[in-house]
Amino acid sequence: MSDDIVSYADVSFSYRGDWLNRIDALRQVTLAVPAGCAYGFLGANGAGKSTSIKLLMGLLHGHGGAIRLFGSPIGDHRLRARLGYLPEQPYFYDNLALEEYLAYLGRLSGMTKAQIGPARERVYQLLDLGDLRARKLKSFSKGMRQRFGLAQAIFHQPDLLVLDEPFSGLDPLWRARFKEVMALERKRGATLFFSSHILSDVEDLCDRYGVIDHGTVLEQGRIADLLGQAPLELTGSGPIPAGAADLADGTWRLSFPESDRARALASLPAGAEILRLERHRLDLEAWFVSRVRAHHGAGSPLAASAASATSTKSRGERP
Amino acid sequence: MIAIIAGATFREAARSRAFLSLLGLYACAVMMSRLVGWISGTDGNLITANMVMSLQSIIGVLVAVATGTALVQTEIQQKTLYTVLSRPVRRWHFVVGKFLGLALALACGQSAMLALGLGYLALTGAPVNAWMVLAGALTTVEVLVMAAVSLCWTSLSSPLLATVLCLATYAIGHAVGSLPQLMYHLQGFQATICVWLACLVPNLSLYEYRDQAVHGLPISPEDTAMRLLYGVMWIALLVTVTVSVLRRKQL
Amino acid sequence: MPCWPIILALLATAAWWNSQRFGERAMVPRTKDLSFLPSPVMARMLSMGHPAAAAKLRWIDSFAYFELQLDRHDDTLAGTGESGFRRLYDMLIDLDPHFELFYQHAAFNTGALENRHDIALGYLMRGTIEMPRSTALWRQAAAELHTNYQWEERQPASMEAFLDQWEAAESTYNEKRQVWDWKTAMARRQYRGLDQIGYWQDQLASSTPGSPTADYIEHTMRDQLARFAVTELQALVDAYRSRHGIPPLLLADALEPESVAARYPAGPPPWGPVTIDAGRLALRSDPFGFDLTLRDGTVTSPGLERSRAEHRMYHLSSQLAEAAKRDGRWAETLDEARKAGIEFAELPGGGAYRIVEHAVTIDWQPPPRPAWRLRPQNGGAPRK
Repeated sequence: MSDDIVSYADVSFSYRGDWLNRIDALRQVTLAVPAGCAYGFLGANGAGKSTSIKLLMGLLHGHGGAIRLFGSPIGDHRLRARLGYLPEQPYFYDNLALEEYLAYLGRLSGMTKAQIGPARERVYQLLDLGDLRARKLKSFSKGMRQRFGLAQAIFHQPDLLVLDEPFSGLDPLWRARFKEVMALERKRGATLFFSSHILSDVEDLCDRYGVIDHGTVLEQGRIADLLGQAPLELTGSGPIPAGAADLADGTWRLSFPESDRARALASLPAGAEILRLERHRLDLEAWFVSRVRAHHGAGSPLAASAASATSTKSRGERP
Repeated sequence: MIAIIAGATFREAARSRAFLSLLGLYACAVMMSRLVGWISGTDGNLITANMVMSLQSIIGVLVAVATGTALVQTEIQQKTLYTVLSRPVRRWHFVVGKFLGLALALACGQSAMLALGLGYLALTGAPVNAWMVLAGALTTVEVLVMAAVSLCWTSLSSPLLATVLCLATYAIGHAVGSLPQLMYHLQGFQATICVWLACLVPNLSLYEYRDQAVHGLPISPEDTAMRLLYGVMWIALLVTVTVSVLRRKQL
Repeated sequence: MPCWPIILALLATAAWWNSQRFGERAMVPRTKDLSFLPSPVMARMLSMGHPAAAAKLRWIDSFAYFELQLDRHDDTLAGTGESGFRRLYDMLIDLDPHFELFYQHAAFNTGALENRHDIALGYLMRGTIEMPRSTALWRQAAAELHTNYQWEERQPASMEAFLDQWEAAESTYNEKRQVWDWKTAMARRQYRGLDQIGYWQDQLASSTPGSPTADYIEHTMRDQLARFAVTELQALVDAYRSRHGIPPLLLADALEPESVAARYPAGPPPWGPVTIDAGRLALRSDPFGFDLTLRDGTVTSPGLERSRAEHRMYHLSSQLAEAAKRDGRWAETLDEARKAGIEFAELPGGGAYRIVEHAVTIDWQPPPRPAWRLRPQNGGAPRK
């Protein structure tokens, strides 16, 4: 645990609903973000991603359990100097120019005036903001604001980047650029902790993941392990084994998980010829939906819609 | 940290449309105040001077309330404070820095109004004296107290309700000076309410020196210092209440 | 289609519409009642920290009330029985106790209009307490004591004491000199009726030429000067009658050198009706530009009579409004007005009543000579 940049241990949080009711936003959340990794925090809308992040940032308080940042309890505000944060759908002061705003936030993060100039040039280059430097933020489009949001988060070269839905509102070109910038930041040594509900982004960028739903962490682990759960696909000819699909050209195809590999090969009928053995690509979205569905139970509306999404996706991608 | 936040707040407030519009309104109103002088059937100079000095307070308070009520609530609603509070900034740093920035912007606005108003009076031949500058300074203290009032109310309620409460506080704050004279008509519960009201609301009538200043009536340095100190005390109290509320607020 | 032609057309229409209110035919005297006058304490609370500005605005707004009271000569507030003037000025003075004009107007309105000189003097005394350096208030108080209380004759010691206090309150040589002039004049004052002329001259000098205030002051001065002229000439006519047993045939006959010399040992007063032209005694016109006349041994000033008729005219307008309220319809002609019970007194020569826009007006023939010039040659400079 000592290598973890961020750790949540049995964290619970509830907020006030109508009258005296309290609504549980997080239930016994336990997760850890090791130093140097890129951690994708997955969850549907309202699952508890932003609440978890706001607790880490000190924007919410009054939680149960323990949250540690850089190995220390989050109460120490000085720790936040090593942290960069991009909120979900960020808004900024309208009447400050971009360069003024960056300098302001940089100084709040403890940068000296001498450090601010080069840092500004760096983010201008990374996010193509040089032409906008003198413009006030009230004239920015949503995409420009998102670019500025990432710029202010990485401006002071933090050790931990916390990004809440960083790709929302971006066109494909800027999504790609954001991924490059995040990869560069990681290469610099920063740890990434970002929430998203777009699973391909997590797959592209992260080496660890966590899934949260209704305030409960359902699963967390390495992306490589998750992808390793993809089934193997054996194509052969000759006698058809049990459970295999008969293809029209005289061949058959058998799918089985990695864990059944030895048993499946051993149970091939005599005379069956192996043409090729391939690993199937995991459909992360289908996997995520199935996890959420399993957590919700079959009766809930979300589970029903999830089931429909799963079946549609499966049909479309199967050969 | 506070100075950095104050600097950014000053720039943001001084460039805001509400701030600049109300300054423009002041300039127009000052020109129009001459009309009141004309229709009085006198040379109108004293009347214009009264109007100009009152306008500084009225427009100044409107600016303070308009910008003060937007100060914290807009930050919360638009989440602009997320990027600030996610840095090594304590919440009280944020509130104090915000207030000081706003206070600086308001003080600059008040100075501009005073210079414009007195310049206009001098140009039109109305009486201008050094006491009016001191009266303008005391009006600035009044405006800063109102900014702290608006900051406090806005931390406890919505911006619209806070605006209404601020204007009510302004009215009661000025009425408090006359309240002891009304006490003769009140008894029992009514009197108790009035006394409590008078004690729990800033006595803004202390800053009504502008009317005497127009007539060139002096005010003692001790009296001036006392009024200044009174304003600083209320500002400190109201900003502390705001800090206390914001520290507990879930963002 | 661009919007600006529509905007311009609508703006022009709105401006024209509004301008109709300022047409000559529509300019009728306003009548306004002070239906709500808060107490001074309440008024201060309602002023929300701007008592001086509120006082000035309230004061300006109540000008119409003054007009109404001038016509009605009745200042009683409906329902309360209190004097509206007094309540109004108590409120205004409490809101801004350092505005000289409030005291001056309060004294004038309660003194001259209500004939309550005791209250008028009270306002002036309060003013000298609040503003001990206000020369104008001291002077007006001195004039009040002299004119309406005859302190110079009845209480000379008290008058001296008052002047001493005034002198002590003044700080500059020029201001003290005014008090010394008063003290000197006290010993040799002769011309009763012109006591306030100096005050009004000052007021005229500080008013804007052509303004309603200046017109009012000029009218007041002409009124006083005409009364003085009538009084003085009547004294000369009476002297002629006692000397010759019959009144003079012509008014000019009353200007006998012996009588004039006896009445004016130091020469005719500069504001008086008698002057010396080419070494001979001559009559001036009245201050309005009419020839003073002698009828059955009585001296009259046509200008003064016109002035009195105009005062009655405002009263007639009020009666017209009351009749309309009572009968449910406005009298449009003089005959209808007479049927409604309004009595039109006979006008001096050259005047005819007319009803215009529900108000009685009088058409006058212009005076044969220009009215006296009252404003000093260098007058009209704004008061510093």
